[in-house]
Amino acid sequence: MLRAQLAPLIDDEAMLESLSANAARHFVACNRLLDTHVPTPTPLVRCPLVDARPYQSECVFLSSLQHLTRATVHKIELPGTHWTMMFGELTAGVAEAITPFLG
Amino acid sequence: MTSDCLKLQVKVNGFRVELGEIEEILTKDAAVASAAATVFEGKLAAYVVPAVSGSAVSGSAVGGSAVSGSAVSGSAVGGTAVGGTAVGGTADAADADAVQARLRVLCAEKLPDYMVPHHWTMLEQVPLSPNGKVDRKRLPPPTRRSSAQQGAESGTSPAVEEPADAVEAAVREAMASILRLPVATLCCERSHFFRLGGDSVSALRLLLALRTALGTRLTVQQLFAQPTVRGICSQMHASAASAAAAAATAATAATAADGGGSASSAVPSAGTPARQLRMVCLQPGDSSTHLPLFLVHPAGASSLCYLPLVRRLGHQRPVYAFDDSCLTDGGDFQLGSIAEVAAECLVLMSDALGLGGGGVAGGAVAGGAMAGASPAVVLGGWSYGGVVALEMARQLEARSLEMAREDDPSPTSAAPPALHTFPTPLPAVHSVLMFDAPLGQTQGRGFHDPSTASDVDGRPRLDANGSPRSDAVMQVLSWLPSMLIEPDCNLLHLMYMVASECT
Repeated sequence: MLRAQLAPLIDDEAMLESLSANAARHFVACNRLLDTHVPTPTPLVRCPLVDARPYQSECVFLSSLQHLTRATVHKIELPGTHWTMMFGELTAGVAEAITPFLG
Repeated sequence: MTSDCLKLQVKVNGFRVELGEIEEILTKDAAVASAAATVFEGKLAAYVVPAVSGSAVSGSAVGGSAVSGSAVSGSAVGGTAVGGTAVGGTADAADADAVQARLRVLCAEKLPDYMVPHHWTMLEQVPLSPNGKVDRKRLPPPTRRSSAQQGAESGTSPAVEEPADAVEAAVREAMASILRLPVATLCCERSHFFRLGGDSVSALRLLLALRTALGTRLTVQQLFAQPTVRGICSQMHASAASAAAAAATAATAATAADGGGSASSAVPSAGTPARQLRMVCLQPGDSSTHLPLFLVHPAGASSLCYLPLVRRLGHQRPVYAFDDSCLTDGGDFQLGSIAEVAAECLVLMSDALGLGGGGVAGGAVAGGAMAGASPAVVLGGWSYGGVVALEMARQLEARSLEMAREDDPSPTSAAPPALHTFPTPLPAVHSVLMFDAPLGQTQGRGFHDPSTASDVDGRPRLDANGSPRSDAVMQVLSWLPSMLIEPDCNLLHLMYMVASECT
């Protein structure tokens, strides 16, 4: 599917191969780090956390991040899914939602 | 605008677009007499009739006559007089440029990225059907600009600077080939790759061509930073010098180790150039009034994916991002933990803050909001990036605690060794933005709140063979074409603008 999408844009076979292969390897590597992530539970951070999640996310992560900080956890729900929430017009909602927390 | 415009929907790059909405935005501008939008070769094209004085609209149907591009010169364009009506001289050309630039910004402000036209053509008159509606079939194709116009716009005229050496000649030849322009028209000093029609895809092609021809491995970021022949060569020289310095440092360290000297920490120091991660300035902003935002790339995607968001945050917000060279350069992923990734990000951040003596493209963030005893930053990331951002905050604050009780001899392992040399004052973390961060994957390893264990996604990302789940991979990989296609919907323009501001 990826190659089909890219093919009209990139006619270089090697580049097609390289882009998709690099992305796949990188995805695997990052997820291995996530799956072995054993952070020191203390000290808790002291800054506020902004927990922005999409309405339609298929991913179900921790329901609350409050145990990670001594400060407030601000929960924000945004349009889109885990994969689309930061693209296109959805970013307008993201920007509006996080602006109060940018200082 | 007529009602039929509002009803005219087209699909561009998978997005449904109302052409009438684009036309409505354009015609509200005082400098626009009328406008039309259509799709040309899969890209949105806008046609604008400027309401400029002196450019009388010919009574004849203009249909196929166009003043292409942004340069509306007083002379015939491409050898063809525009509807028999000359459109001013150089002042008018400048005016037309200004109008077009403003319309681009206007569209960018009012419309989603995918609705901002890619092609812009100035017309003397929009062709109308007998019943007075826009006759889109008679709109001319967005004519490719002549070399002279491209030169005027991009700086290849009046004098073309020839290559100073063989490397510049090779770079110029590659650029001309990718852009399909005569080599002789490119000025090594001023011809700007993106202003001459380069986009994200052709940028990748150029990098590949340079790699093949010269064996150099420039990054997309380096090309964005200096997109001229001379600039590219400068980046190549800088990369070579950096690599040579790294090699010399490694040789020195090896000699010291062989001679019984004290080996340094395995954690890279702030001056070590060969890091897996690198900093990208997405937007320099104004650090005197706005706290800088540091974003960490998601898994499998470049931090350039944040550009659409950055654009929505306004030009004043300084935004930096951590990118992974593995993704673009294909190197080995060497960082062994989220903590290591966070530590490397923090060292890079110290450079950006001007605390570590380094710097990134766009200059160090300093002064104003960053001035004082305790600079503040905002950290954030999408998915995997959010987890790293949180870990960065934890490490920074842990180090702060260590420093606060430095008289206390009891050691703490909360802060990694790299932070022991982190320049002071340590930045305070104003907030951490986590965009759907997958913390649930740490179930059973002591990080999660036991009370929420039932909320953890039970679907592992890796299958039984340790390979990524196919649906997850395909979804992530779909980001890549998004990043490549979206520039055609104006992300390229944004990236170009960001790069321009960085230089």
